[in-house]
Amino acid sequence: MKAAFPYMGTAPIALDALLRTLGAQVVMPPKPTRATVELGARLAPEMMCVPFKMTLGNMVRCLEAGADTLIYVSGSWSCRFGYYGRLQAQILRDQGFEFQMLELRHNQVPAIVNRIRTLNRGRMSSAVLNGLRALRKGWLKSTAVDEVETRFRQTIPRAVDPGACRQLLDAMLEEVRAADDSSTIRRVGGSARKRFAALATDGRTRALRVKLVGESYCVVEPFINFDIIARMGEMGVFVDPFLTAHRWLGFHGFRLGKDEVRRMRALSAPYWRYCVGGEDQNSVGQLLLAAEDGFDGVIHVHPFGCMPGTVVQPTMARAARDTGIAYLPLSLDEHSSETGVVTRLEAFVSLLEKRRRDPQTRDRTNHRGPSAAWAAVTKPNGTADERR
Amino acid sequence: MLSEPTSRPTVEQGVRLSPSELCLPVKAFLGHVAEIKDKVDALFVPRIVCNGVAGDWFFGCPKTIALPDLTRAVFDSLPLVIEPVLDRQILTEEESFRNAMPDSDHRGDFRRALRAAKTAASAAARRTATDGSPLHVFSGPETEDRKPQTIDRHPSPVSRRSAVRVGVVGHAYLLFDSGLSLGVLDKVRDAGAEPVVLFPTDAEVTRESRQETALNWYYELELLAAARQLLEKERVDGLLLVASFACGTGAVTNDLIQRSAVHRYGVPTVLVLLDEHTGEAGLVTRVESFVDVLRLRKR
Repeated sequence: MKAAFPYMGTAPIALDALLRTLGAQVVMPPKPTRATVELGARLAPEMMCVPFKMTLGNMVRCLEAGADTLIYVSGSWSCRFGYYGRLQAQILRDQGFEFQMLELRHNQVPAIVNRIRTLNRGRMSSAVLNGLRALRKGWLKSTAVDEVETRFRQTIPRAVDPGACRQLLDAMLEEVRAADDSSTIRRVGGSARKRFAALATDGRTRALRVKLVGESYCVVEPFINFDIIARMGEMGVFVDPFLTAHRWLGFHGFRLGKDEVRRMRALSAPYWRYCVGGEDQNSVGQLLLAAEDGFDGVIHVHPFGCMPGTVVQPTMARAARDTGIAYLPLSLDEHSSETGVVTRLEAFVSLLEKRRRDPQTRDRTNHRGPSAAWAAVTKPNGTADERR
Repeated sequence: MLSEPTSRPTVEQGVRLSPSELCLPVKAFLGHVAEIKDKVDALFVPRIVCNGVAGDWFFGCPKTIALPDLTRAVFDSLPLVIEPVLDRQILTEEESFRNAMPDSDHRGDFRRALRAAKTAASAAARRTATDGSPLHVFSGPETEDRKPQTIDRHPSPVSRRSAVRVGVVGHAYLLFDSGLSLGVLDKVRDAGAEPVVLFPTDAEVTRESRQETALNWYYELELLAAARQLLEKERVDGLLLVASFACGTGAVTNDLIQRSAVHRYGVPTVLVLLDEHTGEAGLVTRVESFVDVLRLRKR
């Protein structure tokens, strides 16, 4: 089995290790390029959201590179993400590609177990053993990647030479990817703090802090969000994404962090009662939390035409107005221009700087809490708790 | 009290209030809320979450599920919002409506109201099927001295063998709101073809839900069922798909329908996307040329 999966931020590093340990050959997806996105956009339905187009283009590249099995996460809820796998398989087959699709969803577990067993020559015992080893290794790598990225995010706003900081990030990610045994992976992850601390900093202590919220793919994949974390870092702003590749694997892959989900639901309840996908509830909750934690601003990214991402916009704006935090929504797709996005980011940063210098600007905004319309609302009847 | 039929100002007001990326029907909805909110004591905005079909759950699109939250976020002042949550996974129909009642004094009446509403709804569904249009719903209740006038009830043209028949697939809230669809059904008639719109029965929707291509959205399931009937039973000459710009679910459904129409049935299709900038002339040209193509193929 030559397995491949679509590219998403740094998630492939852990997934690659996981699949290799299971005994599969892995076709590492190539990094997305303009051409890949355009290819995906040409094959996909016109009004489809951009993560669909990007992953589709990426899958074509994987199949061209010789993959025979495509692995995909899927679900069924009101967001279009649930149909990615099925629709993409159909489009790719119409293009004449032959492959197998392995959908990771609850009702596919027997099929997945079966595939792992085949990889281990039909022996269940070795399949279970390899499965556990694979999970452990994937998790270790994912944790190491997360450690490296966290240090990078903290260092770059203060770095004298942001370029060197970026280079160190790339080098360390490559080390994690190449590391084969657990102790090396741990050592690389453990060295991140020291190695980033060794870079020269400009001694500023209170960088501007911005929370990045929004749809998962747009938050995690630097190609589509124009590398917003590093770019804002170069402008001297610390960006804290609510979701990283590591947390995405934990959140969606294994459903960890239930406490946090519950907390976000409670926080967002006055504004947003039903989770409809696209991390809407998390985005509203995280915005309120960021305001409480004294962040300077919130950036919300979503794919153009994303159903939950668009419909949550007025709610985000109202929550931002009520709490007095600065808020910038960015809608991204294959036509988004880098210059346009950068201009808006720069303007946002100047705004944040001005608010820092002149706290009155901030205090003049409306801190009135949820508006009267919300107070008059009848009590919510039932929650979506049971669905989770 | 109902808001007035969708007009240009309704749409324009909705467009001003909503983020630009929302779909046309939701923008129009907000326009309607703006027009009516100061004239009423309470607004009825149900949250239609899901529907059970053949043991499986089928959901509304995110925008319809979030409609009450959206409405509250957009307007600074609103009358009381009555928001029944229709989610049969966690609530029975009765619970949904009981919880939505604003105060306990009214709770006694809701059962009778619910029964009456259900009877009216099934009568309306029957009439929609015979009329070929749901517009009778807005013509007010039928009384002794006042027979509701039927809007837009065009008798089917004499079915000559030569007449081109165009299956029209689109959400009822778009197709039959002439303020949004610019009367696309009339345009098809004006172009000399017969528009065929189907309202699938529960049995047809259930059958569709068992197909491999079934989608988890209830409205889309209805469209898929309608398209299948149009292609298999009605044997229409072409399919006209009408959708709103930025309709997220439509991107998936229309692709599925177009693929199967072209590959399996060899029936040509055209997709018309509507938004607040759609010009009537452009729509006429496209409908006319599609009908011309179908006429040429038929010869």
